[in-house]
Amino acid sequence: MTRLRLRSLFVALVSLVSLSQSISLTGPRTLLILEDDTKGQFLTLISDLEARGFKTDILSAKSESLSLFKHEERVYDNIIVFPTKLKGLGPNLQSSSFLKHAANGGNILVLLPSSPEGTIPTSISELATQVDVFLPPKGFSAVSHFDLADPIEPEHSTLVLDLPKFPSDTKNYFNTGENPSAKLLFQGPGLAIGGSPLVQPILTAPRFAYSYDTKEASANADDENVFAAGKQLVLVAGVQTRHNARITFVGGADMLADKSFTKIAKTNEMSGNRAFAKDVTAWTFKETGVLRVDMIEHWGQEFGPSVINGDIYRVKHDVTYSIALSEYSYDHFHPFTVPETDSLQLEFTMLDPYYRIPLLSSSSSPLTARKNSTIYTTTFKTPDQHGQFTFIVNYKRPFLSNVHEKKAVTVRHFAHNEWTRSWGISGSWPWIAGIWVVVVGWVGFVAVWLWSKPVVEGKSGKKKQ
Amino acid sequence: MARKNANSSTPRPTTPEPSSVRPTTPNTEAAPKSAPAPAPSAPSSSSIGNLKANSSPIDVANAIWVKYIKETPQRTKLIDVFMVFLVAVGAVQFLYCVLAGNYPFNAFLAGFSATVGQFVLTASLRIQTNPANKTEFSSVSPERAFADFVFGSLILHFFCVNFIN
Amino acid sequence: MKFLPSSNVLAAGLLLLSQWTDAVTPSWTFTDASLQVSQRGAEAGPRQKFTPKSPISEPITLKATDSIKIQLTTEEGGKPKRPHQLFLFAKDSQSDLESFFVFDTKESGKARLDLTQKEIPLSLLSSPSLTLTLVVGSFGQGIPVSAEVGTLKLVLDPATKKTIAQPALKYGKLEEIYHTFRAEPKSPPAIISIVFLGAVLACLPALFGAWFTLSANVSHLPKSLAASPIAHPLFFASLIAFEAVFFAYYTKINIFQTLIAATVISPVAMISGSRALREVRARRLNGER
Repeated sequence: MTRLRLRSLFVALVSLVSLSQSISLTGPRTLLILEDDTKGQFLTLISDLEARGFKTDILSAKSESLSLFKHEERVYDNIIVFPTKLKGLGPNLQSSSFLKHAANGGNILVLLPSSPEGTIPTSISELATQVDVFLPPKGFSAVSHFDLADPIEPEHSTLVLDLPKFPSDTKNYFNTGENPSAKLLFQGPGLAIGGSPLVQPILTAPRFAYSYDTKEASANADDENVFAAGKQLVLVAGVQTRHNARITFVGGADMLADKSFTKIAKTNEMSGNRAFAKDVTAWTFKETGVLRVDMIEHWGQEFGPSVINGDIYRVKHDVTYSIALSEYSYDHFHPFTVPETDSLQLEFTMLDPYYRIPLLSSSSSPLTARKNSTIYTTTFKTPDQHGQFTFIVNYKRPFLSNVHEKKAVTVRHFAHNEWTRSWGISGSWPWIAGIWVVVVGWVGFVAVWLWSKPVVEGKSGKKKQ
Repeated sequence: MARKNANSSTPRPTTPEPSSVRPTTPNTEAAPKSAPAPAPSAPSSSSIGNLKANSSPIDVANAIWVKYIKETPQRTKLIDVFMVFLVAVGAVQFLYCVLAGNYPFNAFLAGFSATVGQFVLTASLRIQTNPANKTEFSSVSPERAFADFVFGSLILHFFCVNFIN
Repeated sequence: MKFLPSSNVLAAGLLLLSQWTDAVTPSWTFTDASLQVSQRGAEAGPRQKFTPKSPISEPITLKATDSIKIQLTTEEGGKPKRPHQLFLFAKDSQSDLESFFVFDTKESGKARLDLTQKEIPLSLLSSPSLTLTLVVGSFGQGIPVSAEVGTLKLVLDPATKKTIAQPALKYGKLEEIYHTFRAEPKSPPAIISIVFLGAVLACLPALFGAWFTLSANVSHLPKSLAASPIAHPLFFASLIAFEAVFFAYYTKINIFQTLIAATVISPVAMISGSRALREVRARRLNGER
């Protein structure tokens, strides 16, 4: 009864706000794989999601009606896997089902149990391995003796850490809260990631933190029982598949639980966890970090801007290429700005790139101005090589959806009447003269041959003088 | 001995022949006076026959020259002059190409092949119209040969003009 | 003997003092720390001592066959004790990558770490220098300590260098590429062209001069005109016309116009040519050539 009531309340809330509220680019249908006994821990997270327009469907992994696909179509746009005590999630939630969901463009958020006693279902660890994320076995816990939330906590397992920071060429979608210096609370085993560029660490452990086996190495963390340490210990990792589906692993579910949305004893300030939870879910469910190509225009010197996106260009002619990019942010697209130390690059390729040059933002395109996108443009001279070339904009960056735009065009050689005429080249003058001298001499010869009166042999000697 | 000499001075007899006719004319003038008409009736063998076995290469060249001057019909000489002219124009163009580079190469090919082609056409005209070869080309009258020559030359000129751009 | 009590008192006092400070902030530290580089098949190098406050100043060089031995004793509040965490962190000063190595510790607090190049991850091998940091920490109230040990310089084998040559693929901007154009062909200096142009043109007067000296003439022209007044001029004019068309083709008109002009002139040239040459043959047969 109470459950039903709660749900209807949520539905009412959603229907009230969803009209004006944002929506994920993938879609609002969200499956929460959540057991009844843990539901109470994540009320704020769920209500925050629903307030943003997500239509949640809370189901137990044991539920018989649970299926990710119906008639080979995705039933849900987003899935959140909450910690569970179950060892297996059942036949409908195999790792292959999760992967199929992602392959069909759906997003997944996986919350690992924070407590060392928590179990990780087999299908989840299989899913993790397949996307180059490595989860520690049961019993591990991340600790830091340097970054304690509470100095009297004996386990040292609640970490206090800063909001994520990234190199200057990477956009930070994970510190958008009101207080940029807020601290985060973390409790959990953490995880490790492989070298694939598809996997990005969102939050890494403090420098001297480590994750160890609480059962085997309670007295001393020896070499065999340490999972990872320092920056190698990842607390939150984001995976973006090649077709832009997102799978995020949170190395400790408590991070997004109600109990972390509190004051930190050490600093006596509110933790940044609630804003961070919003950022992580927003990124995972494609409310942020999604790029859209609004327009591509290219034109050559030959015809000028009057012929747009033509297929044929001439060698050694200027070509201008423009691309308009916008970025999704919760409920609207706005102009996308490339970080200053990063660069949006255009390649002009035939087998190998002949050019890889930066596209620079221009306040107005030579052709059209656009309101909600930034136009990046460049002009270059086609190589002195004819053939089938391709314009490529391959912009793949951490946390941004992939932009991979290709357009094949022909670069033709000079037409026969485009060369400089021979008299325009001073070097050919003697040879031009050669032809016409021969022609004039020949005409003279014809006249002589036709009409020359033979001279008597004897006379020739005299005449020569 | 003689061969060695001939080797060392081979360039000399060839140089006066193609490049210019005029400088050698004093030579030709002197020649008939020094050896006045030895045998007009049978000239073909006599002038060379006059040479001694050990005569110098210059003498040999002179003798050939004298024989050419005396025995070639004037009409054929006019053709020869035209051919010499073509060789000269071709040589200048080739020398220019060697000295100054072959850019633009098509212009060089067009200009040079104009002289070479014209030379070949003129040479065949000369062969077909030379009275000495009358027996060989009994079926081809000189006029017919000339018509072919004109036709061939026009095609050649068109080709060269087309090619030089 | 006399001094014993007083020294005892002093010691006891010190102990008390230390225990008092411990009670407030018991902190972790390490003593008797030394680092030793030993080469295979050679005597071990000197023991280089270091403390939490004073790292080894000289860079430590590690060759492919060398091994490093670090020995130390950990203490909490002055008493030897085994900590939960005793790690050596190695940080690439350029890329900020950091890896760690775990010590072997005994209950007594004595710890030892052996390190060779094989244990260092590939991604750190290419680094010019690694900063070594020792971390001692444990549960409870003891304040953990992190202390710099020194810097490590790796001397790599050529074979190892090859394996680390390719860094892992990372998303990011790539090096810019610009096409290098072939050099434009250049004409020789115009003066040379002009000189040779003059030489070529000079051949023409030379030709006519030579013909003149050989008594070439056009004296038969009146005769020919009398014999065939139309054919001869027409033939010659058509040849000139052909060359004029070629010149026009060279300067302005296109191939189609040229072909049209040629098809117009050709029959004229053929018919008039055959007539004219018939006249020439008549002269030849008359012995006038």
